[in-house]
Order: sequence, then structure tokens, then C-alpha cells
Amino acid sequence: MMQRHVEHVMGTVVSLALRTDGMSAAEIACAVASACEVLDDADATFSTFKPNSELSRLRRGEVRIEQVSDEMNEIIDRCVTVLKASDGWFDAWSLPGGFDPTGIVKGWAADRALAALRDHDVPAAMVNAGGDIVAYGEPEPGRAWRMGVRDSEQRDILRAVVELNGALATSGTYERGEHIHRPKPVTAPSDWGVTALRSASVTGPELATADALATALFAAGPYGLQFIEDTPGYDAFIVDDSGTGWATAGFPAADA
Amino acid sequence: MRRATIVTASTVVGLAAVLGYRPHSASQVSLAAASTSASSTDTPSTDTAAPATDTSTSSTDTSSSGSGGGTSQAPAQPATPAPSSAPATRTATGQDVAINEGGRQYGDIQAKVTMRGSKITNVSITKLNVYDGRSGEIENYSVPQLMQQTIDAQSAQIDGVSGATYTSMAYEQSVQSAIDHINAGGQSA
Repeated sequence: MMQRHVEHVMGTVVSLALRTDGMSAAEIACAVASACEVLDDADATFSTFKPNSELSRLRRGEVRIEQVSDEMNEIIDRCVTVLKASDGWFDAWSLPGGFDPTGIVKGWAADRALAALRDHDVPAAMVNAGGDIVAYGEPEPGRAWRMGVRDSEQRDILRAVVELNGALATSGTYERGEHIHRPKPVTAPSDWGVTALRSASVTGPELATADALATALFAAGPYGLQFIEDTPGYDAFIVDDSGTGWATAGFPAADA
Repeated sequence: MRRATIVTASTVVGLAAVLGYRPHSASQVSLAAASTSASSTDTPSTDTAAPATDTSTSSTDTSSSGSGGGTSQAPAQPATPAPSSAPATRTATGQDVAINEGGRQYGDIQAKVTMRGSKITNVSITKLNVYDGRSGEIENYSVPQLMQQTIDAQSAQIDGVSGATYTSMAYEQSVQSAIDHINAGGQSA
């Protein structure tokens, strides 16, 4: 049995899919409510569109760094870790307006929502937060969760399918002329022929990290695959501006 | 050392990119076919007819349903059955080729290519050795693999899709504008 629930939160659509074998209706409702509470809490703390969120107050200097919540501390730590892992291509301090961890919060919240479902003994579940996905367990006995990476130009076409007990995040220009924030200029030699990407997808155990690395990879361009290769447990698939697809050696592509 | 990584990777990538851009040219096809009988190994080859590293599997090519973007669709249209002459998928490992520049050998590389019919769907590097000029050491680099599949979303039987669409982005913008409007004290009818 598979049940789905859709929540509008964090400025996007979050879809939960639960395998509910052996669970009562009340247990399912409780699990879903718990996951949604996690998402709402993350929204309340980190939304830059909510003037009274902790992040907004921090950005206005109304909260001292020593006084921030445990969650904010954790996000700051993760932003530092990914700043280093991505060779500076994910830089939460490089955006106008001050510290902005938006590129990691959605994935982080989804990881925690998934953990809430697991804590409620849901046998298998998938959280899809606006196209960034994390999942555990078997949706049906004997098979893993299958996730597709959408083509940035044609909505009915997928460029990759992965089978994964873990996370898949995609960053991309799904709209022409979209401004790409780059914390630093692309200076790698252009032997590749193109420096821009249409999309960058990252897989790995945690969506928070995959989310941030996908953002970093998209900004860095094709040579960003190097820092993905250097990050244990994480792999990537990109479509460059010529429409050509590339993957790191360990990318968990399914036999589609 | 890091620069050497990028230079070497780009050389290999340049090769792979060429293969990816021109899958139908005769030279690419001959690279995949002719090389299978000449892969260099130390053990004497025992098969004479079939190349040692060529694997053939037939695959059914699912044809995408023909509704070209219309918003109304007939319910439960069955997919067209695959023709019996669907292109076969074949994989072959190429020669172990020396990388020479300016009369000196810098290393060697070997690639494996998968083709469906005449289209290259995957290139992977099975071996890449580059000699560090100063230390004389052999180093191994990982390089990106070409992945040129396009898969019909409706037949892929997936549980979730990653990546935004014009529709979902427009939705998010619309939701955000409503939130902003409400936060500013306004209300919709």
C-alpha cells in the first residue's frame, strides 16, 4: 500500500510517499503530521520571506551569533563543511543580504522529515521537496525507489533514472535567462567547449549535502565534477549547455 | 598535480565529447568495431572468430506514445509493441592506446563504448594511466562518463522526478507572490 501526501511549505510543494503496510490509519496520520511539523518548523526558522524567522532576524543583526538555536548552529556548520567540500562553489556568505543557507535548508528539512517517518516505523518512504528527493526502504518488496532526472527543455523526457536508497538533488536552468549566482568566476580552461550547464544532479546519503553540492556544481560548470569525485559517497550527473550528459563513475544509474 | 588532472581529463573528455557529438560518422563506428579484435592483453587470445570483449544483448526499444503535447488524451492508450528488429545494444572495449605528445609517451588510456544501433549511449574509461613527468609515478584519474540516454517519462515507471519545470517554477512564483501580498496586509477575494 502506498499513500501520498502533499504539503505546501518552504515556498514549494513537498510530496511524501509512504509505504504503509501494517500501519493503522491513525499511525499513518501521526507519522505524516510529525513529518509536516518538521517542515513547518524549518520554514518558521529559516524562511527569508518570513520577517520574524530566526534567519531573518539574524540577517538584520537582531540575534547574536552566540544566541542562535541548535538548528541554526547545525546549518551554519553544514554550510562551512560544504563550502570546503565544494572548493568554495557553494558559499552561503556570498549572496547579497548576508548569510543565506537557502541552498541547503530544503534538503536538510527533507532529511529530517524523512527521519520522522522512519521514527514512526513507516516501512519505506520518499520525500520530494520541490524536485529534491530523499528516500529509504523498498517501495515494493524487492525493488528500490526509482527517481528520474527531468530534461531541462522537454517536460516528458528524463535524462537519467536512478535506483537509490538515499538522496537525489537537481539544480538547473529550467527557465531561459535565469541568473546563475556564482560566488567566484569560472576560470578553468575551456577545453570542454562549454562552461555552463543546463542541469546538475547529485546523489548521496543525505539530501542536505546533495542539495548544496548540486547548487555548487551548477555554478561551477563541468569542472565541478572534480570536487564531486573528491567527496566520498556522492556522485553527479550533469547536462552541459550543448545538451550532452555526463556522470561520475559511481552515479547510480538504473538500467532504464 | 591538480592541473595535470584537469589537462588529462580534458583530453579524455575531448575524445569522449567527439564520440558523443558524432555518433554516426564512419570513423566512430570503426573505432568501436575494429578495436574489439585488437585489445591488448598479455594472455594469448583463445577465440578467433568472436572478439573477446564484445557482448551483445538485444533490447526492446520502447517507442514513446505519440500524443504530441496536447492537453487532452485518450485514456489508457496501449504502447506500440516493439518491432522485432529493434536495434541491439552492444558493448565493446577499445584498444589500450598510448598517449603521446611531442614524441613522448605520457600514459595510456582504454575506453569502453556502449551503442544501441548506431547511437552511442555510454562511454566509460576502463583504464587511464598518466605518468607524472617529475616523479615518474603512474597515477590514476577518474573521468566523467558520457551518458546520453533520453527516457520517456511515462514509460520509465519512476516513483519521483527531480528537477523543476516551467510549471513548477511558475507555481512557486505565484505562491510566493501571494504570500508576499498577504504579508503586506492584502487579501485576495
